[in-house]
Amino acid sequence: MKGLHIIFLVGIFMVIASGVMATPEQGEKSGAAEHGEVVHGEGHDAHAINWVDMSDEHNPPLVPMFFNFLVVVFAVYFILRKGLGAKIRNRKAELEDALKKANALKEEAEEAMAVARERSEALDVEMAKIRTDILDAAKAQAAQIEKDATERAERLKSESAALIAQEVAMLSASIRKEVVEEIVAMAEKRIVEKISAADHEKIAREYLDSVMAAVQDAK
Amino acid sequence: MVTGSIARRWAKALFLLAEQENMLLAVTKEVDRVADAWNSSDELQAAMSNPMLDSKVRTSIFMEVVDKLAVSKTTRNFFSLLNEKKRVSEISAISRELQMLADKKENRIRAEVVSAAPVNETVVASIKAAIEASTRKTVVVSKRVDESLIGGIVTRVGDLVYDGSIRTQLNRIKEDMLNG
Repeated sequence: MKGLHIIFLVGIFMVIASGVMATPEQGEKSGAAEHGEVVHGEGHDAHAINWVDMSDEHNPPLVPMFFNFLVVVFAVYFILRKGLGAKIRNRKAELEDALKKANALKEEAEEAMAVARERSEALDVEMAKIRTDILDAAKAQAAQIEKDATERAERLKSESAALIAQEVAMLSASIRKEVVEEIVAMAEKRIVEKISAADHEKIAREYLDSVMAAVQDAK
Repeated sequence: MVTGSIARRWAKALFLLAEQENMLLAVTKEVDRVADAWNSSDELQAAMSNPMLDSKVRTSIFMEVVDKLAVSKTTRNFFSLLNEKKRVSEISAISRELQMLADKKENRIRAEVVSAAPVNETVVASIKAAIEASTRKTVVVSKRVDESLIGGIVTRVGDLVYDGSIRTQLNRIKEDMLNG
Protein backbone atom coordinates (compact mmCIF):
# COMPACT_ATOMS: atom_id res chain seq x y z
CA MET A 1 0.00 0.00 0.00
CA LYS A 2 2.82 2.28 0.85
CA GLY A 3 4.51 1.45 -2.46
CA LEU A 4 1.33 2.38 -4.29
CA HIS A 5 1.30 5.74 -2.62
CA ILE A 6 4.83 6.28 -3.68
CA ILE A 7 4.01 5.35 -7.30
CA PHE A 8 1.02 7.64 -7.23
CA LEU A 9 3.04 10.56 -5.91
CA VAL A 10 5.79 9.92 -8.42
CA GLY A 11 3.13 10.05 -11.20
CA ILE A 12 1.75 13.38 -9.95
CA PHE A 13 5.26 14.76 -9.67
CA MET A 14 6.07 13.75 -13.25
CA VAL A 15 2.88 15.35 -14.56
CA ILE A 16 3.48 18.62 -12.69
CA ALA A 17 7.13 18.61 -13.59
CA SER A 18 6.32 18.27 -17.30
CA GLY A 19 3.93 21.24 -16.99
CA VAL A 20 6.45 23.35 -15.05
CA MET A 21 9.25 22.56 -17.45
CA ALA A 22 7.05 23.61 -20.39
CA THR A 23 6.18 27.01 -18.86
CA PRO A 24 9.67 28.72 -18.87
CA GLU A 25 10.23 27.79 -22.53
CA GLN A 26 7.03 29.48 -23.41
CA GLY A 27 8.00 32.53 -21.28
CA GLU A 28 11.37 32.83 -23.02
CA LYS A 29 9.62 32.63 -26.38
CA SER A 30 7.22 35.33 -25.31
CA GLY A 31 10.07 37.57 -24.13
CA ALA A 32 11.91 37.27 -27.42
CA ALA A 33 8.81 38.24 -29.32
CA GLU A 34 8.40 41.28 -27.19
CA HIS A 35 11.98 42.36 -28.06
CA GLY A 36 11.26 42.12 -31.78
CA GLU A 37 13.32 39.08 -32.34
CA VAL A 38 12.17 36.51 -34.74
CA VAL A 39 11.45 33.42 -32.90
CA HIS A 40 12.03 30.32 -34.83
CA GLY A 41 10.09 27.54 -33.45
CA GLU A 42 9.66 24.11 -34.75
CA GLY A 43 6.52 25.02 -36.38
CA HIS A 44 4.67 25.32 -33.07
CA ASP A 45 3.26 28.34 -31.47
CA ALA A 46 3.62 29.01 -27.79
CA HIS A 47 0.50 28.02 -25.98
CA ALA A 48 -0.87 27.40 -22.49
CA ILE A 49 -1.30 24.07 -20.74
CA ASN A 50 -3.81 21.92 -22.44
CA TRP A 51 -6.05 20.64 -19.76
CA VAL A 52 -8.89 18.94 -21.53
CA ASP A 53 -8.65 19.63 -25.30
CA MET A 54 -8.59 16.30 -26.97
CA SER A 55 -8.29 17.73 -30.47
CA ASP A 56 -4.81 19.15 -30.09
CA GLU A 57 -2.64 16.33 -31.19
CA HIS A 58 0.66 18.12 -30.53
CA ASN A 59 -0.23 19.09 -27.04
CA PRO A 60 -2.26 16.33 -25.39
CA PRO A 61 -4.54 17.35 -22.59
CA LEU A 62 -3.23 16.96 -19.12
CA VAL A 63 -6.39 15.85 -17.31
CA PRO A 64 -7.09 12.85 -19.55
CA MET A 65 -3.45 11.96 -19.34
CA PHE A 66 -3.60 12.16 -15.64
CA PHE A 67 -6.77 10.14 -15.71
CA ASN A 68 -5.08 7.57 -17.94
CA PHE A 69 -2.21 7.53 -15.63
CA LEU A 70 -4.53 6.91 -12.68
CA VAL A 71 -6.15 4.08 -14.61
CA VAL A 72 -2.78 2.56 -15.34
CA VAL A 73 -1.73 2.98 -11.73
CA PHE A 74 -5.00 1.49 -10.57
CA ALA A 75 -4.67 -1.43 -13.02
CA VAL A 76 -1.12 -2.05 -11.99
CA TYR A 77 -2.13 -1.83 -8.38
CA PHE A 78 -5.11 -4.16 -8.98
CA ILE A 79 -2.95 -6.71 -10.78
CA LEU A 80 0.02 -6.62 -8.47
CA ARG A 81 -1.58 -5.81 -5.15
CA LYS A 82 -1.76 -9.40 -3.89
CA GLY A 83 1.38 -10.93 -5.29
CA LEU A 84 3.59 -7.93 -4.89
CA GLY A 85 2.40 -7.19 -1.35
CA ALA A 86 2.86 -10.73 -0.29
CA LYS A 87 6.19 -10.87 -2.02
CA ILE A 88 7.28 -7.65 -0.43
CA ARG A 89 6.10 -8.83 2.94
CA ASN A 90 7.79 -12.17 2.48
CA ARG A 91 10.91 -10.53 1.31
CA LYS A 92 10.76 -8.18 4.27
CA ALA A 93 10.21 -11.11 6.63
CA GLU A 94 13.07 -12.97 4.97
CA LEU A 95 15.31 -10.02 5.28
CA GLU A 96 14.29 -9.57 8.90
CA ASP A 97 14.90 -13.27 9.57
CA ALA A 98 18.20 -13.14 7.79
CA LEU A 99 19.07 -10.07 9.79
CA LYS A 100 18.07 -11.78 13.02
CA LYS A 101 20.04 -14.84 12.07
CA ALA A 102 22.97 -12.76 11.12
CA ASN A 103 22.72 -10.95 14.45
CA ALA A 104 22.37 -14.26 16.27
CA LEU A 105 25.36 -15.66 14.41
CA LYS A 106 27.26 -12.53 15.17
CA GLU A 107 26.40 -12.86 18.86
CA GLU A 108 27.31 -16.53 18.83
CA ALA A 109 30.53 -15.76 17.09
CA GLU A 110 31.27 -13.06 19.63
CA GLU A 111 30.46 -15.44 22.48
CA ALA A 112 32.58 -18.15 20.91
CA MET A 113 35.30 -15.62 20.45
CA ALA A 114 35.02 -14.61 24.10
CA VAL A 115 35.03 -18.24 25.21
CA ALA A 116 37.97 -19.00 22.96
CA ARG A 117 39.79 -16.00 24.35
CA GLU A 118 39.05 -17.09 27.89
CA ARG A 119 40.08 -20.63 27.11
CA SER A 120 43.18 -19.41 25.44
CA GLU A 121 44.02 -17.40 28.50
CA ALA A 122 43.06 -20.34 30.77
CA LEU A 123 45.00 -22.71 28.53
CA ASP A 124 48.24 -20.96 29.26
CA VAL A 125 47.58 -21.24 32.98
CA GLU A 126 46.47 -24.83 32.59
CA MET A 127 49.52 -25.70 30.51
CA ALA A 128 51.75 -24.17 33.13
CA LYS A 129 49.92 -26.17 35.82
CA ILE A 130 50.15 -29.36 33.78
CA ARG A 131 53.83 -28.76 33.25
CA THR A 132 54.30 -28.24 36.97
CA ASP A 133 52.20 -31.31 37.77
CA ILE A 134 54.13 -33.46 35.31
CA LEU A 135 57.41 -32.28 36.77
CA ASP A 136 56.17 -32.94 40.30
CA ALA A 137 54.85 -36.37 39.31
CA ALA A 138 58.12 -37.21 37.58
CA LYS A 139 60.07 -36.14 40.65
CA ALA A 140 57.75 -38.15 42.93
CA GLN A 141 58.02 -41.17 40.64
CA ALA A 142 61.77 -40.91 40.54
CA ALA A 143 61.84 -40.69 44.32
CA GLN A 144 59.48 -43.68 44.59
CA ILE A 145 61.58 -45.70 42.14
CA GLU A 146 64.68 -44.87 44.11
CA LYS A 147 62.92 -45.79 47.36
CA ASP A 148 61.60 -49.06 45.89
CA ALA A 149 64.99 -49.93 44.50
CA THR A 150 66.62 -49.20 47.85
CA GLU A 151 64.01 -51.27 49.68
CA ARG A 152 64.37 -54.10 47.19
CA ALA A 153 68.11 -54.01 47.48
CA GLU A 154 67.81 -54.08 51.27
CA ARG A 155 65.32 -56.90 51.08
CA LEU A 156 67.48 -58.87 48.68
CA LYS A 157 70.45 -58.24 50.94
CA SER A 158 68.46 -59.39 53.96
CA GLU A 159 67.08 -62.41 52.12
CA SER A 160 70.52 -63.30 50.85
CA ALA A 161 71.91 -63.03 54.36
CA ALA A 162 69.06 -65.16 55.70
CA LEU A 163 69.56 -67.66 52.89
CA ILE A 164 73.27 -67.83 53.56
CA ALA A 165 72.61 -68.22 57.26
CA GLN A 166 70.06 -70.93 56.51
CA GLU A 167 72.44 -72.73 54.18
CA VAL A 168 75.21 -72.45 56.74
CA ALA A 169 72.87 -73.74 59.45
CA MET A 170 71.70 -76.60 57.23
CA LEU A 171 75.25 -77.45 56.28
CA SER A 172 76.32 -77.24 59.88
CA ALA A 173 73.41 -79.43 60.95
CA SER A 174 74.17 -81.88 58.17
CA ILE A 175 77.83 -82.06 59.15
CA ARG A 176 76.91 -82.34 62.80
CA LYS A 177 74.44 -85.11 62.00
CA GLU A 178 77.01 -86.97 59.94
CA VAL A 179 79.64 -86.60 62.66
CA VAL A 180 77.22 -87.62 65.43
CA GLU A 181 75.94 -90.60 63.44
CA GLU A 182 79.52 -91.62 62.75
CA ILE A 183 80.44 -91.28 66.42
CA VAL A 184 77.35 -93.22 67.54
CA ALA A 185 77.97 -95.90 64.92
CA MET A 186 81.57 -96.19 66.05
CA ALA A 187 80.49 -96.36 69.68
CA GLU A 188 77.87 -98.99 68.88
CA LYS A 189 80.41 -101.03 66.95
CA ARG A 190 82.88 -100.73 69.80
CA ILE A 191 80.27 -101.75 72.38
CA VAL A 192 79.11 -104.70 70.29
CA GLU A 193 82.71 -105.81 69.91
CA LYS A 194 83.64 -105.36 73.53
CA ILE A 195 80.47 -106.32 75.40
CA SER A 196 80.66 -109.67 77.19
CA ALA A 197 78.28 -111.98 79.01
CA ALA A 198 79.48 -110.52 82.27
CA ASP A 199 78.66 -107.04 80.97
CA HIS A 200 75.16 -108.22 80.03
CA GLU A 201 74.75 -109.67 83.49
CA LYS A 202 75.94 -106.45 85.09
CA ILE A 203 73.66 -104.35 82.93
CA ALA A 204 70.73 -106.65 83.76
CA ARG A 205 71.39 -106.23 87.48
CA GLU A 206 71.61 -102.46 87.11
CA TYR A 207 68.40 -102.54 85.13
CA LEU A 208 66.72 -104.56 87.83
CA ASP A 209 67.83 -102.00 90.40
CA SER A 210 66.43 -99.19 88.30
CA VAL A 211 63.13 -101.05 87.83
CA MET A 212 62.92 -101.64 91.56
CA ALA A 213 63.60 -97.96 92.19
CA ALA A 214 60.97 -96.95 89.64
CA VAL A 215 58.44 -99.30 91.23
CA GLN A 216 59.25 -97.92 94.66
CA ASP A 217 58.81 -94.37 93.32
CA ALA A 218 55.47 -95.38 91.80
CA LYS A 219 54.26 -96.64 95.18
CA MET B 1 37.85 -99.89 64.26
CA VAL B 2 35.03 -101.99 62.80
CA THR B 3 37.26 -105.09 62.85
CA GLY B 4 38.16 -104.44 66.51
CA SER B 5 34.53 -103.99 67.39
CA ILE B 6 33.53 -107.23 65.65
CA ALA B 7 36.37 -109.17 67.31
CA ARG B 8 35.40 -107.72 70.70
CA ARG B 9 31.81 -108.89 70.30
CA TRP B 10 32.85 -112.42 69.29
CA ALA B 11 35.40 -112.58 72.12
CA LYS B 12 32.88 -111.32 74.63
CA ALA B 13 30.37 -114.00 73.54
CA LEU B 14 32.97 -116.78 73.81
CA PHE B 15 34.21 -115.39 77.11
CA LEU B 16 30.70 -115.51 78.61
CA LEU B 17 30.11 -119.02 77.28
CA ALA B 18 33.44 -120.33 78.57
CA GLU B 19 32.90 -118.65 81.93
CA GLN B 20 29.45 -120.21 82.15
CA GLU B 21 30.90 -123.64 81.40
CA ASN B 22 33.81 -122.93 83.75
CA MET B 23 36.29 -123.48 80.91
CA LEU B 24 37.72 -120.00 80.55
CA LEU B 25 41.37 -120.93 80.96
CA ALA B 26 41.16 -123.93 78.61
CA VAL B 27 39.16 -122.11 75.96
CA THR B 28 41.52 -119.13 76.09
CA LYS B 29 44.52 -121.37 75.52
CA GLU B 30 42.78 -123.27 72.72
CA VAL B 31 41.84 -120.10 70.93
CA ASP B 32 45.39 -118.89 71.36
CA ARG B 33 46.68 -122.11 69.79
CA VAL B 34 44.35 -121.80 66.82
CA ALA B 35 45.32 -118.15 66.39
CA ASP B 36 49.01 -119.12 66.39
CA ALA B 37 48.31 -121.78 63.77
CA TRP B 38 46.39 -119.23 61.68
CA ASN B 39 49.13 -116.60 61.95
CA SER B 40 51.93 -119.03 61.18
CA SER B 41 50.28 -120.55 58.12
CA ASP B 42 50.08 -118.39 55.03
CA GLU B 43 48.72 -121.39 53.10
CA LEU B 44 45.78 -121.69 55.49
CA GLN B 45 45.00 -117.98 55.19
CA ALA B 46 45.29 -118.17 51.38
CA ALA B 47 43.00 -121.18 51.22
CA MET B 48 40.38 -119.58 53.43
CA SER B 49 40.35 -116.40 51.38
CA ASN B 50 40.40 -118.17 48.00
CA PRO B 51 37.03 -117.61 46.26
CA MET B 52 37.82 -120.39 43.75
CA LEU B 53 37.50 -122.94 46.52
CA ASP B 54 34.09 -124.21 47.43
CA SER B 55 32.87 -123.08 50.82
CA LYS B 56 32.46 -126.72 51.91
CA VAL B 57 36.06 -127.41 51.01
CA ARG B 58 37.23 -124.35 52.91
CA THR B 59 35.14 -125.36 55.90
CA SER B 60 36.55 -128.84 55.88
CA ILE B 61 40.14 -127.52 55.67
CA PHE B 62 39.62 -125.10 58.52
CA MET B 63 37.80 -127.55 60.78
CA GLU B 64 40.47 -130.16 60.10
CA VAL B 65 43.10 -127.74 61.40
CA VAL B 66 40.95 -126.95 64.43
CA ASP B 67 40.38 -130.64 65.14
CA LYS B 68 44.11 -131.38 64.86
CA LEU B 69 44.74 -128.87 67.64
CA ALA B 70 42.53 -131.02 69.92
CA VAL B 71 40.22 -128.28 71.14
CA SER B 72 37.20 -128.67 73.36
CA LYS B 73 33.68 -128.99 72.00
CA THR B 74 32.87 -125.43 73.01
CA THR B 75 35.89 -124.08 71.13
CA ARG B 76 35.17 -126.25 68.11
CA ASN B 77 31.59 -125.05 67.94
CA PHE B 78 32.79 -121.47 68.23
CA PHE B 79 35.17 -121.85 65.30
CA SER B 80 32.54 -123.65 63.30
CA LEU B 81 30.19 -120.73 63.77
CA LEU B 82 32.99 -118.27 63.04
CA ASN B 83 33.67 -120.06 59.76
CA GLU B 84 29.99 -120.18 58.93
CA LYS B 85 29.75 -116.41 59.43
CA LYS B 86 32.91 -115.89 57.35
CA ARG B 87 34.83 -114.25 60.20
CA VAL B 88 37.78 -116.61 60.32
CA SER B 89 40.15 -113.77 59.42
CA GLU B 90 39.32 -112.19 62.79
CA ILE B 91 40.90 -115.06 64.76
CA SER B 92 43.98 -113.11 65.92
CA ALA B 93 41.98 -110.14 67.12
CA ILE B 94 39.44 -112.37 68.83
CA SER B 95 42.24 -114.23 70.59
CA ARG B 96 43.73 -110.97 71.86
CA GLU B 97 40.38 -109.69 73.05
CA LEU B 98 39.58 -112.96 74.76
CA GLN B 99 42.99 -112.90 76.46
CA MET B 100 42.33 -109.37 77.70
CA LEU B 101 38.91 -110.33 79.05
CA ALA B 102 40.33 -113.39 80.76
CA ASP B 103 43.26 -111.42 82.21
CA LYS B 104 40.91 -108.81 83.51
CA LYS B 105 38.73 -111.39 85.16
CA GLU B 106 41.72 -113.18 86.68
CA ASN B 107 43.32 -109.88 87.78
CA ARG B 108 46.23 -110.63 85.55
CA ILE B 109 48.55 -108.53 83.40
CA ARG B 110 51.10 -109.47 80.80
CA ALA B 111 54.66 -108.28 80.64
CA GLU B 112 57.17 -108.73 77.88
CA VAL B 113 60.85 -108.76 78.72
CA VAL B 114 63.07 -108.10 75.72
CA SER B 115 66.81 -108.39 76.12
CA ALA B 116 69.89 -108.21 73.93
CA ALA B 117 71.18 -111.49 75.36
CA PRO B 118 69.42 -114.32 77.20
CA VAL B 119 68.54 -113.16 80.69
CA ASN B 120 69.03 -115.03 83.93
CA GLU B 121 65.72 -116.43 85.25
CA THR B 122 66.43 -114.83 88.59
CA VAL B 123 66.41 -111.40 86.96
CA VAL B 124 63.12 -112.18 85.18
CA ALA B 125 61.57 -113.41 88.39
CA SER B 126 62.74 -110.26 90.17
CA ILE B 127 61.24 -108.08 87.45
CA LYS B 128 57.99 -110.04 87.68
CA ALA B 129 57.92 -109.70 91.45
CA ALA B 130 58.59 -105.98 91.26
CA ILE B 131 55.79 -105.44 88.76
CA GLU B 132 53.38 -107.62 90.76
CA ALA B 133 54.21 -105.63 93.86
CA SER B 134 53.67 -102.42 91.97
CA THR B 135 50.42 -103.36 90.24
CA ARG B 136 49.05 -105.91 92.79
CA LYS B 137 48.19 -108.16 89.88
CA THR B 138 49.45 -111.50 88.70
CA VAL B 139 52.04 -110.96 86.00
CA VAL B 140 52.47 -113.32 83.08
CA VAL B 141 55.94 -112.76 81.66
CA SER B 142 57.03 -113.55 78.13
CA LYS B 143 60.69 -113.32 77.13
CA ARG B 144 62.25 -112.41 73.84
CA VAL B 145 65.82 -111.78 72.65
CA ASP B 146 66.48 -108.82 70.36
CA GLU B 147 70.15 -108.30 69.54
CA SER B 148 69.50 -104.86 68.08
CA LEU B 149 69.21 -103.62 71.67
CA ILE B 150 73.03 -104.15 71.89
CA GLY B 151 72.76 -104.55 75.63
CA GLY B 152 70.29 -104.16 78.49
CA ILE B 153 66.61 -105.02 78.91
CA VAL B 154 63.26 -103.50 77.90
CA THR B 155 60.13 -104.47 79.81
CA ARG B 156 56.69 -103.61 78.52
CA VAL B 157 53.63 -103.83 80.77
CA GLY B 158 50.64 -102.63 78.85
CA ASP B 159 51.41 -99.02 77.98
CA LEU B 160 54.21 -98.84 80.54
CA VAL B 161 57.78 -99.35 79.29
CA TYR B 162 60.93 -99.77 81.42
CA ASP B 163 63.67 -99.19 78.89
CA GLY B 164 67.24 -99.99 79.96
CA SER B 165 68.69 -100.88 76.59
CA ILE B 166 72.00 -99.57 75.26
CA ARG B 167 70.25 -98.87 71.95
CA THR B 168 67.95 -96.36 73.65
CA GLN B 169 70.83 -94.80 75.55
CA LEU B 170 72.82 -94.39 72.35
CA ASN B 171 69.80 -92.86 70.64
CA ARG B 172 69.40 -90.46 73.55
CA ILE B 173 73.07 -89.47 73.37
CA LYS B 174 72.72 -89.00 69.63
CA GLU B 175 69.69 -86.74 70.08
CA ASP B 176 71.48 -84.72 72.76
CA MET B 177 74.51 -84.25 70.53
CA LEU B 178 72.36 -83.22 67.56
CA ASN B 179 70.28 -80.77 69.57
CA GLY B 180 73.12 -79.49 71.71
